[in-house]
Amino acid sequence: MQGRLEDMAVADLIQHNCQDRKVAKFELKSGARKAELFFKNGNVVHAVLDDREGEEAVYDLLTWEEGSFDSKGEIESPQVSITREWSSLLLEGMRRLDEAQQKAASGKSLEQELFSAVLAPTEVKQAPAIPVSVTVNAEISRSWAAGGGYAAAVKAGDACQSRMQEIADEVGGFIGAAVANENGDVLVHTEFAQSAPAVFVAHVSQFIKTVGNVVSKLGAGLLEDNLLTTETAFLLIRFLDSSSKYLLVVVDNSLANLGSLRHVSRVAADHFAAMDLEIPEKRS
Amino acid sequence: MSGSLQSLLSDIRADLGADFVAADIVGMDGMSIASQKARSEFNSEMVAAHFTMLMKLAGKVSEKMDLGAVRENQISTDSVMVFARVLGSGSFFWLLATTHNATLGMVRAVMGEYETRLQGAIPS
Repeated sequence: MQGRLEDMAVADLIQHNCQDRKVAKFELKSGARKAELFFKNGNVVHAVLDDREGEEAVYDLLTWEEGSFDSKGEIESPQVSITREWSSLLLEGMRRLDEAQQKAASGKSLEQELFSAVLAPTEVKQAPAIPVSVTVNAEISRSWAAGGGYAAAVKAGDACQSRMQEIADEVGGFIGAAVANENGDVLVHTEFAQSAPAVFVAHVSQFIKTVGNVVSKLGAGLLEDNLLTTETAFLLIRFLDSSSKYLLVVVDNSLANLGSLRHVSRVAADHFAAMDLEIPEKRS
Repeated sequence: MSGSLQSLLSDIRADLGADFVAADIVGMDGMSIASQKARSEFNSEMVAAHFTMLMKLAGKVSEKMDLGAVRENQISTDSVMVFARVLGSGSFFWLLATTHNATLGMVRAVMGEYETRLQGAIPS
């Protein structure tokens, strides 16, 4: 397989090969620049571009608008430098691209904006006090991209990122947050300081299901939220609207402001409730 | 039933006024040792039993997540707020139900004010 990037964008090339779950090596050229992409088990596992490797190389590649690509066949990658799921990788790349294009409108080149950390460190904007990394369920990401294109998917991903970041910034003592459904599916999550998000959500889903049953048996109304206080943490579980999805926020209770936790999580829950966070195959 | 505990629960009811729904001191065996309620339909025994189960489950969840022992669980619905706060070493907890409209800060202040006194009034 070979072709021109003018006909098939890098993002499409990645999507195509990942969906085919091929083991493959691709060489890409644009002017004097050369890159390599390796695919395995439905994901990009390694990328090289100039002196960059891994995710950063992919993000750089996504800016290429012209050039060529050439499949070198079923060649295994010499190493694994990327573990991120392909759709999440593309969403992050598109988010960066979108952000850089907006900034480029203010006068700077796309490359300057994308790699400002390297080219002009003093111009990098101040990072948030507690930068959180947000991941959207891959099925939902794909659904967003299929429904409204990558731009819409990036925008939705950005909205999730903003909400989680706001919680981390406002509450203090942030450990982690997730949006999940009653089945324990993690829909959106940040990294958790103490454990894998799925582990937190699995335990919490079991707990909140029991809380719901108790509230129902006692005829105590419609469950809105549950705040569990432990020796070290606050776990706030807030339902999104009247749905079966909930927002979980875990914070260090020696550092967090409880009033702020309740307020910010209420605002965030309202925003998440307005988003399409249904896993496609589970739509009725 | 402890007279001292009952007296304290009456004081709590007076402090919370119209927002008070019910209060119980419950053992981890699910049995209430002191009770006060403002609504006749509030089934203290049933609530105590269910919330004991919830507190035990919360303890297991917290332990598995390495977050230490449970101190309190608070549930809010569109009609009530229910607080279950562990007293002392964890053999008993204090169950307090208020209306949904109660001022959360005020309820927590009242709980803070009475917590040690309730703990001290549990017969040992």
